[in-house]
Amino acid sequence: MRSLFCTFLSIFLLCSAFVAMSQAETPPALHLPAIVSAGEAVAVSSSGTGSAMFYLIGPGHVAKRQFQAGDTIQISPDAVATAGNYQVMACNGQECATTNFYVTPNRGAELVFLVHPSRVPVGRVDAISAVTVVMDRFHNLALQPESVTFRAIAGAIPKETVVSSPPRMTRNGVAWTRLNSGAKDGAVVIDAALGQLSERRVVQQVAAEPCKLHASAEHKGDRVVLQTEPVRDCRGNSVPDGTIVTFTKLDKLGRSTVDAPIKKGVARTDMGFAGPATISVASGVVAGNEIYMGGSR
Amino acid sequence: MIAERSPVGRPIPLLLILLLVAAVHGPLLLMQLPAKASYDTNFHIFFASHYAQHWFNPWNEKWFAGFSQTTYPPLGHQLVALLSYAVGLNAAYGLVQFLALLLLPVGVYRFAKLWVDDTSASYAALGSVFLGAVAFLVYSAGQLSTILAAPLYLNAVPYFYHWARHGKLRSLLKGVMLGLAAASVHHVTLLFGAIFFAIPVLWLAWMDERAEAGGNSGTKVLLRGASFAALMIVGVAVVLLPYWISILQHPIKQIPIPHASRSNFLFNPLYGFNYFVVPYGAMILALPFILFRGASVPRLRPLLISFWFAFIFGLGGTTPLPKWLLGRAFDILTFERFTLWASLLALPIVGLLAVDLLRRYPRAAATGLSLAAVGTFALAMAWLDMSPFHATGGLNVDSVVSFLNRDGHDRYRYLTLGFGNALPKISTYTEAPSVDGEYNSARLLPEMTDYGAAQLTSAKFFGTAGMDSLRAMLKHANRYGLKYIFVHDQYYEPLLVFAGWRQIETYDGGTITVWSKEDVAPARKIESDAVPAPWEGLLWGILPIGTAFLSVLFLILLPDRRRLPQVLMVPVRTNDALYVREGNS
Amino acid sequence: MKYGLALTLLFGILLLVAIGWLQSAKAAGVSLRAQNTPEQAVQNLLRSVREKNWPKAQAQLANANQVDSSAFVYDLAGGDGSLRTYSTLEDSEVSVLHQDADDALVRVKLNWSTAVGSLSDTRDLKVVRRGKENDWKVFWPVSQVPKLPAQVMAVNYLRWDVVNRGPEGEWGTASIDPPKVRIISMNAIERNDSVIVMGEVVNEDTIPAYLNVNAALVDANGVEFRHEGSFDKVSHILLPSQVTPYLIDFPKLQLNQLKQVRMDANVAAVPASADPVIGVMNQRLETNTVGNKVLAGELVNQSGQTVNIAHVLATCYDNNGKVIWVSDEYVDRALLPTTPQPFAVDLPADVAARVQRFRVMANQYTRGAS
Repeated sequence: MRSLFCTFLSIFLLCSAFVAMSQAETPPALHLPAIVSAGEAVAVSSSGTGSAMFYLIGPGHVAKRQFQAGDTIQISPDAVATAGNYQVMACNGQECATTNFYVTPNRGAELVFLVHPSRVPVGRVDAISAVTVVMDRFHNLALQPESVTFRAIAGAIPKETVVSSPPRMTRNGVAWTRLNSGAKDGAVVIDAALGQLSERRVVQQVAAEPCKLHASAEHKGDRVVLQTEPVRDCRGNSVPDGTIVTFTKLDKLGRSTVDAPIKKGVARTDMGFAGPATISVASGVVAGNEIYMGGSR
Repeated sequence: MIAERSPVGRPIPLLLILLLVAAVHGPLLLMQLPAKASYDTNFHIFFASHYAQHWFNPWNEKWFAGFSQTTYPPLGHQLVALLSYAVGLNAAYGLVQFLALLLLPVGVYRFAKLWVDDTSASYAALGSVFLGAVAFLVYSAGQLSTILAAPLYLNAVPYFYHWARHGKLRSLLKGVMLGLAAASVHHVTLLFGAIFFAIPVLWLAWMDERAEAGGNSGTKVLLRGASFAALMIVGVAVVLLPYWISILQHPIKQIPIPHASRSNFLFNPLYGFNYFVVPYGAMILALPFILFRGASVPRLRPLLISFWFAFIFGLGGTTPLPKWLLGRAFDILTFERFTLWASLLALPIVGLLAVDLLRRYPRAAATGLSLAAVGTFALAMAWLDMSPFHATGGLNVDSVVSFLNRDGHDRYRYLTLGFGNALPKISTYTEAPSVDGEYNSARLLPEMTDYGAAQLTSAKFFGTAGMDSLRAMLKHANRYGLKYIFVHDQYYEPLLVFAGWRQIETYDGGTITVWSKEDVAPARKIESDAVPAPWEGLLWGILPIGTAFLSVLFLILLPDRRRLPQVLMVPVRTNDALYVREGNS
Repeated sequence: MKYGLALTLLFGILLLVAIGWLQSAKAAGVSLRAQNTPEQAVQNLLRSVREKNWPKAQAQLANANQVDSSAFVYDLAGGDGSLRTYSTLEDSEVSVLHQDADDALVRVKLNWSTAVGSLSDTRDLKVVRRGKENDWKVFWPVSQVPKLPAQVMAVNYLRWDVVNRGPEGEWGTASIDPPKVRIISMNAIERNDSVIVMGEVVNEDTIPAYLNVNAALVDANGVEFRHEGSFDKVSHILLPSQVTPYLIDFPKLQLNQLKQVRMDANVAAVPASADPVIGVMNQRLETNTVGNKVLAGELVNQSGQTVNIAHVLATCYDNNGKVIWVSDEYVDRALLPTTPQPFAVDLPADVAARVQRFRVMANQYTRGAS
């Protein structure tokens, strides 16, 4: 009796399963290229029957829409503007079909240009670092190698001097170079060019340390006026105003020091005079001449 | 005998006195005068604002790089917080202050009735409206908690008396609950209220019981008094448990901070005027009467002795007694509140004086007493403007608040210099944390507790201690993420310049400048062992406010039974005045 | 009898007030008999100074008629926005050095609370017996308010301003690099239960640098366990090629508790001015009146603008050129244009014995220039 009941139950369940399967829709399947360029429209063909839901999941975009299985789904250029891995899914309620594709960056259309430092002393080797990052028009890092040219333009038109670097190929979207600073102070324009694209930055070349620092002393009543000659570096550039020059006077009263800033190219100060004194001048780690002032006032 | 038909013989209706409170204090509170002119109002509003936002979390990150509000009983602040949901913080503060001022004459009346007849008690209640000490504490000191706790005590003490005398359970319940509510408002009032108010009342109950019942009946009174005290101790221990935990965990060990109320008023006449003449006002003229009448009537002697002690304590460092009796606590307490308590203790006897004078010289006395009362109140109010000491709570700090609330500036800690009592106002309206704060007892940072100075914002007023404390804090600016300093006093600029701060902004026509230090990283949470446990926050948010609700509930459910007034014929000597006392249960 | 209690309480009040008065008087140094000793005369004078009651203070002088009141006030209360104008006399220590029948020499150490911390000022005052009562009175040295001749000083002010790009600036656009500074020396020593890190920093750039020098101590496990900054023991604004000393104090620490010191010079480009120029004249090591070694000299403000507060930083080197100490001192007088103002920086005795060379620089605060 019990086995008869089991047999009937099995037949009933099997029949129910067949009926259910016969009524189900065919699950959708998606077909599209494995690699797509950023910003290019994509057509996704599908198979199967019935109504289904389409999902697009990307690094910068997520979309969802209904479609009829078997139709072609158009993905707009905006939806695949960001480079990276994308996933498309089609679901019909119970089942989902998933396909991945990769959106590659487009060709370089924009330069991000980093130049360091913003101030550099003259005559330094490899003192300027210029790094450019190539982006496509959707701000994706343009990974395919491209040729970038760096140039340093010093001086004013028409006496400008231009130094160009050999073309540099980008690697993973980045190209860089190191440049020497020039011999003359002033602004130098660093330019990075990619085809018609170019980006400019300005680096201030400043005088290096003072060279042959020389001061003179003039006795005026009970005071002594100290003044440097125009302070220049070894290439003849004027050391920037504001640079501190230290005057030191050593006499019987002790040591006297004045940290005087350079103004209009020279540093100047005055001190009391109380008899024989030795006067020296220095700026930073650079020592200048020494003056001996003797005799009574 | 009091002539019952004379107007002087009838008590002034309490309702009339309450209307007078509304007439006198209502407009001043509506003008939000305490917030503009007083020292502590902004502090209370700041505490309330924290409860309004974090009812069950008493840990407040806005001051001292984090401190626990369980170091201050919360009821007053919680009431303000509750009302603030409806009317905003400032108006809520005014409402709670108004409630305290309404309760005060009621408490004085009920307290005075224990000692003197109804008529004198009503005059005492009337006098409380114009008390200089009340005006001083409300409008100059801004001591909400003291002003709210005092009437709660005054209202609790008669129940204590009746419990001690008659052993009625309803008196016990109402007395204990009101006492707990008072303790939940102010811890200092709790301790000294017991000494100044409860002990003389117990003494009075004992005297009255012995006078009426004779023999050993006084023992019963003392036993009931002890049971009341025991209940209060247990109740206060439970209701304020987080407070006791915090105070035991971090007893106040900081270097004493000077306070003008602790000085010798004879050496500092201005302080004497501020802390003696202004709060007592015309009551100074009544002092001989208080002394001699209080001493000549046996029933008034406990009150007189209590008044005497409160009076001496109110003199601060003018006498050595407070220092002798309080020891180290002398350097922690401030003494202006003792003047309030002394005034309240004196009021029953002043009520007697008023009735005496009105009976003898009706017109002249009415004029004189009115002038004295109004003059006392007027002096206290005028002193707000005339005093050389001015609170800066009314300072416009909108620009500072606006700066802190934009561009992520609140990721750093800040400090104000020269802002005085406006600091809590800034803290109330910004989420930015400060290393400073206005509540000395909650400070745990060594840069503050190792020096005898209070707020950093007022460092210069504490001399070397203050400036050394400020230097110590500025030295550790990077540790605390202290990036921004707001300066309202050029005095502090040299130190900031030499310590490496730079002025970055100017507001309000140059009166407020903003200074910044470049190398300070955003503030990190400073670990502290003073953070209350979550269960403490729960207790703190439920029990104190619960005492207030239960007090109201008991007062409604267990109303006082009124008896018809009856004259108790007490045999007295002929040269003594006759006093009428109403026995309520 | 019925007023017995009242009288007792009244008497109690009077007694307590009297005791309180005596206690306070003792604490304040008030004596019942005025000016009966040289010490008392100085104490009374200083009490008036503390109360800023200048007429009363001057009236207590033996030579009140000779002392110019404005000079007297300038001497004690300061002027020209000097540090003394930001000061309050907090307390004083008075000791009699020498006493005869009619004159005495009293040393007084005045402890001032100032806007930059506490400052001490030690003076030897002559006290003489004068007047009808033959009381002791202080003989105040006659001084003058510094007066400058009217003049026009041509000054070419040099100033740097910094224009930063706004927050909306794009990534990669040019920004201002922080100035390049270099820590040129560092020396860690142990002294008085503290570890002290000191040295020098130079600005190698062509623009002024805003500087903060911080040090982190590293223990044997490589963990940074203490951080401190140089606070006011450094010049925070460094002009191009300028050198500043720094000193960082780690209290309650011993050298053997640390393995390494990590230095960090935090730098930013900030607006700054090259003026005023302050000369440090006639620097010499000497012993002051109380027998301490000091590095003394005069500051001369070479600009036409009054410097309100000057801060002297002195670097001491040993015979190897190593920085062995950095001392500082705030000058409580304003630096008027071209007027020398003396300073004296304390040096510990052991440091003074080893000093071979020193370098002094002056930092400054000018009101309204920050």
